[in-house]
Amino acid sequence: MHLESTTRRRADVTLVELVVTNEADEDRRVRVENCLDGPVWYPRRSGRAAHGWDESGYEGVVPAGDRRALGYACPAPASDPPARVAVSEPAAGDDPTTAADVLADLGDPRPPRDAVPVEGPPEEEDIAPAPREPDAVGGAKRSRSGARDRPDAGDEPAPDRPGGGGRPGVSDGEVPRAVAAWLDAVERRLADGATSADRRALAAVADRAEALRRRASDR
Amino acid sequence: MIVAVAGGKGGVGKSTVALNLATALDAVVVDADLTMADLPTAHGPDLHDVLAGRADAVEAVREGGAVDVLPCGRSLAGARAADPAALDDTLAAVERAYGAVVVDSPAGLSADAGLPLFAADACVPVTTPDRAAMADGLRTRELARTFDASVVRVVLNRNNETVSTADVAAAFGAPVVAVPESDAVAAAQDGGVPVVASDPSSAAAARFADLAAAVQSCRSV
Repeated sequence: MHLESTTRRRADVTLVELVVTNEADEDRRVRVENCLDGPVWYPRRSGRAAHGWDESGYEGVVPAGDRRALGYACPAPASDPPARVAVSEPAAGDDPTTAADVLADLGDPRPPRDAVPVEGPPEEEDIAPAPREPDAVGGAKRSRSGARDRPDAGDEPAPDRPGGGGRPGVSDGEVPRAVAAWLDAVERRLADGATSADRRALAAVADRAEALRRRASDR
Repeated sequence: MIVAVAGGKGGVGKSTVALNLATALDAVVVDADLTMADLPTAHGPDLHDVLAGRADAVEAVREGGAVDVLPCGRSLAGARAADPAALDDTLAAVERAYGAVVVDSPAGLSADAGLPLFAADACVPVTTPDRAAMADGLRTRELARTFDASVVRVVLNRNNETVSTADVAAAFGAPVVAVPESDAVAAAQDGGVPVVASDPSSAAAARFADLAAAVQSCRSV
């Protein structure tokens, strides 16, 4: 464990700046103690000692190959060295903070279950309207009407929507995602030879689509 | 290297800064705002899919534009199904594949703001000249401290000369890059394009280049 120190004197107070470097291949717990002839004025957060600090110095874990910058004040005059590494030992057995700990400490940011619609595909206008789509982003540029995008892929598969009415979120001229996915699946199966079920389903869909198309053109 | 662009208040311009910093650094920008996604997106897997285990981090990165983007999903169901704690591994995977990552973090101080700071090596807080934004920015700076995400620079966005950059630097304990309010930035952001690409001769683009240079100089340390 390597310690570099700098001191400055300001208005009868010595400001001590330290860099503790762990040159080992393992995480190490270190205790740094003040050598100046006066009390440690440690950093505070909301009136309490900052994490790891107490009246004699600092204790904490420095990851392998990493370093910590530390600073404190002391009314006593500066001397050399102002601080020393009192303890340095392997930190194995200490549980480092994990992402799960952060999630637990700071609160789950996910929307509550009740806020998620249970019927139909998730609508993107539930949250902020989608931004304009630039050429700057890679991937095919989709034709859109207005500012709405299609529902997210990968969310619950879109169930059949009963009833008529416009289907929000579907842009002009594009095949609804569920239909496109079914057609893709049929096309893949065709490579092995058409099944009778597929033939019947395709015929039924083609008939219905044609009938609806004729009705739509008549209006 | 993973850099988190953060700032407690919404609307200060984190996404603009993140998009431009990533472009200048040739990094991937990840939109980590799980419920208020802001960066441009297109068809394909997104961060919701990655955090729910439906897609790999690298396959969700969109290449071919001015900057590589890992966009976020935009549905409540997607946000609900995502595991925010998986963001740490996700960012590490993108860093391994691409070298440098800029994270567009959400506003606030909840776990979705904390996790990018936890994962990041460095942080760029963003504020505007008004007091509310500065107060929230300082709270974010404190949060960054608890996760050892060193502040490289503070971005004073939409700078209108009403506050002194020296005062902002003293409050945040880090040097300031002041980005002026400008039509060039507004127009570029409306088009979803980073101003460093659309108008590289603008003053704003020059400031983002300065920011990138500062981040690069920390990277080699």
